[in-house]
Order: sequence, then C-alpha cells, then structure tokens
Amino acid sequence: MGLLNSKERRRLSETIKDIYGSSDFLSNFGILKTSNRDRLWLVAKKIFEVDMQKLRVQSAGLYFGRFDNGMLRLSIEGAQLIGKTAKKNIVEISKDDVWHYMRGFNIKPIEKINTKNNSYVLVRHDKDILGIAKLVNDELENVLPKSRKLISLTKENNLNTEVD
Amino acid sequence: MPAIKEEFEKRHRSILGDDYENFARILKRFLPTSFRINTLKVDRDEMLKRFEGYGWKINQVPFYKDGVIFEGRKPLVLGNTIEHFLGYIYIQETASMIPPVVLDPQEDEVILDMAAAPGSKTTQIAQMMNNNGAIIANEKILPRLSSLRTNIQRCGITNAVITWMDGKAFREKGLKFDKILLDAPCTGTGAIMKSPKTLKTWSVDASKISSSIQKQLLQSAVECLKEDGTLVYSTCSLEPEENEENIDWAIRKLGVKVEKIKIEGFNTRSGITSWNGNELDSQVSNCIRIYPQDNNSEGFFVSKLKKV
Repeated sequence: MGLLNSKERRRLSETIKDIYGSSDFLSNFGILKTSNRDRLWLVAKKIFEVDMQKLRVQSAGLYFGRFDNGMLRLSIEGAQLIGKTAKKNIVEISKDDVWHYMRGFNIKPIEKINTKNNSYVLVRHDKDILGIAKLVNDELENVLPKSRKLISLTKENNLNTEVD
Repeated sequence: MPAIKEEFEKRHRSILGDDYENFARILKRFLPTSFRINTLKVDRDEMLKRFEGYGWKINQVPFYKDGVIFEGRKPLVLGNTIEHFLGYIYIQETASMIPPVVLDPQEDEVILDMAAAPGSKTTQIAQMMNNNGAIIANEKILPRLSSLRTNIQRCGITNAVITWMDGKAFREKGLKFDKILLDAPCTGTGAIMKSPKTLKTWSVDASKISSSIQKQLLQSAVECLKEDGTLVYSTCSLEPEENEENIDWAIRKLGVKVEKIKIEGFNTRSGITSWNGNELDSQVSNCIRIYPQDNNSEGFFVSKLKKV
C-alpha cells in the first residue's frame, strides 16, 4: 500500500470531475493505493501520525473504489461522497426499483441517459445515492458487492446483534 | 429461555436483594430496538422527519442526541431498510452507546478501541469525532473482522485503521494513545435478553477465566495510555469478578484513578465495594452498573480510569 503522490491525486480529481462534474473533496484525505488491484482508500490525515509499522494492519480508512479496465468503479460510500456534488452520469431509479437494486438485480432507469455504453453511473433515488451500476444497453447492470446485497446485509445485521 | 442457574440466582440476589425478582422477570422480555443516526452521512433532523413520515414512533436516547429508540415493538426489520443499507442508521442497543459517551472522544485525538468487533462503538466514536483524529480499531478474532470491516465501511468512516492483534500485545508496541476503549470480552450476563443461551453457558469459572483475560487486557491498555489519558473499561457482564474486582486490581496494581460517571436521564447504580467477603477500594463505587430492569435496556458495567 502506498500514498498517491500529488500528480496521481490531481489525475484522480480530474477523472472524477470529468465523469461526474463533482467538485474536489479529496484534499481532505490521504489517499492510499494497494499495489495489486489499484484499490483506493480515503484516509483521515491524522492516521499518518500513528506508526503503522508496529501494527498488524488489515485496512486503513474508507474503501473508495478501484480502477476497472481504466474506469473508476466506486464503492457505495465513494459514490455517496461524489454524489453530493455530482452533476452528470447520474441515473434516477423508481421507488420500486430501490428494493430490486439493494437485492442485486439489474434494473431499468426511469429515463434514458446519454453516456457511453459499459460505463459506470451513479444510481439515485430521490435524495439518496444508492451506489453505482454499469450502463449496458440502456439497462443498469448491478455491481453491488455480495457483502452489501440485502440478503447478506440481513446476515450482517445479525452480526450487529452479537453481544457487544 | 433456559432456566436460571442456582449459583447465578444466589449471587445476584446477594447484590440486588428484593430487586432480584424484577431482574429475573425482565430477562424474559424482549429488548426495545434502538439505533443510531449516522450523522457522518445524513442530517439528524432530516432523518427524524423521514421517520416521522414513515409513521415510526421513536424517542431520543436521553444521554446521546443521535441515539433513537422505538416506542413499543419495532414495526419492521430495520436491517432490511434502505436507511440501514445506505449506512444512515446503525442498529445499536441503548446501553451500548454509553461507553463512547463516557470516553468523550475529541476530534484531534488518537484513540484505541482494543476489542472493536462488530464495530458499534468504533463507528459511534468515529461519528463523535466527526471523522477526524484517528482510531485504531483492533480485533483479535479473525472471523469477527469481516463484520467490523463491513460496518466501518457502511458508516463511511475514514479515520479508522483496522488491526488484527491480540490486545495484550499492544503493550509491547511502544505506542501511546490519548484515550482507550476496552469493551472487554466477557460472559455477557448483561445481555441475556438478547442472548438467552448465556444462562446456559455462564458459570463462576467462566467469569473467572474472563476476568483473567480482562486483567491482562487492562494492563496492556494502561501501559499504552498517555499520562493523564483516559481509559474506559466496560463489559456487558454483571458479574463482579469481571467488573469491580478488575477495577480494584487495576487501582492497586496499575495505579489508576477511577473517575465518577454521570449519565444524563438514565438510571445507573454505583459499583459495589465488597464481594465474596472482600472489601474493594472505595473508588470502585465511581463505576456504574446498568441493570436491565432500571431502563429496559441491556445490562452493562462502565468505568472511567485515569492514568496518574
């Protein structure tokens, strides 16, 4: 894992602005990148004051997303952060489809949007940014990770009720 | 619900006297559902309006403004709601919100959560720090790391590092923290309403084994604390071996001071100062016991220690 340098940070900011038209929020964070799968993590700056070499670290900060064939594939939280100020590549879905989306099914957007086929878009219902999907032939291909699909979420919810 | 063991009844009768009947009665009831509004992602007032629109009857947790509790039985499975999916809410028992409140984390601090999974208190601490400062969220047991990771991610937390270590090993690392939360692994006798099988698995020996591990964790935590730093030691056990006896030991062996705790609008009792014929240090009375029958919540023990 290594920190993005200023050139890489700038490139990431530009990519985000290009795709979603959102304003830069990355300056508040350190950005870590894993060497193997180009995964990006947003990390509060104070964390870098702790000597991590002494600890058995599993992960640091918030998983933001990764580059998938050159395209930025955001996590739900990454999408929510960008969604606060995003102006384009946002697809609105119906209330009924929210449930389908959370369960991992592909869905149809309410309106067609004009963007490249096979690109990632933000999925929104009303004020809620739900995550992302891949726009394939006017259909939203669900790319939710297994751990966040509703069935698994119910399991996680049971974990939340562990003695704590 | 499994039968209450004779030994369990005897010891809790000796602590509670006539109130034992109320304690035994409430153990058979369901806990009210409570949750936390995650202000790292959403505005609290907007969420409250949304819940009002759903017709949810909820009240605020008296000592923590972002905590919410359902009036009566909850109308739905909260884990299946869009608000849970999006990380706007975190299901958390009311009493479990107390240790972070006592810890009182500040935005510029470095905090260790020594036994963090599944992450209820870690995510609450991060929320109270407004995602600033730094939290080391440690968990020893590998299978519990995935729930910790998922919850930290779902809540949108950027100021936490997840580590996989035995809490006892922290003392060898030479790191110093402003504050430490040790919500220690325990027998869980305060959480019988949620997990009735505890009545079957609990024994005096189990509490003694827990106590021995807890003391080692306490020692490690105190050694990692900065001078004048704060350590909150809590358990969801109501057994004196895992609570007051450990604090008495920490006062004598580790030189900590115990500070008084006041939880606004919540009924708490002072820590007991004698057990099994032994007198404990009077400072132990500054700790708090939370009994299920006092607030219709889980039972908890919370102490606030200062390194002097």
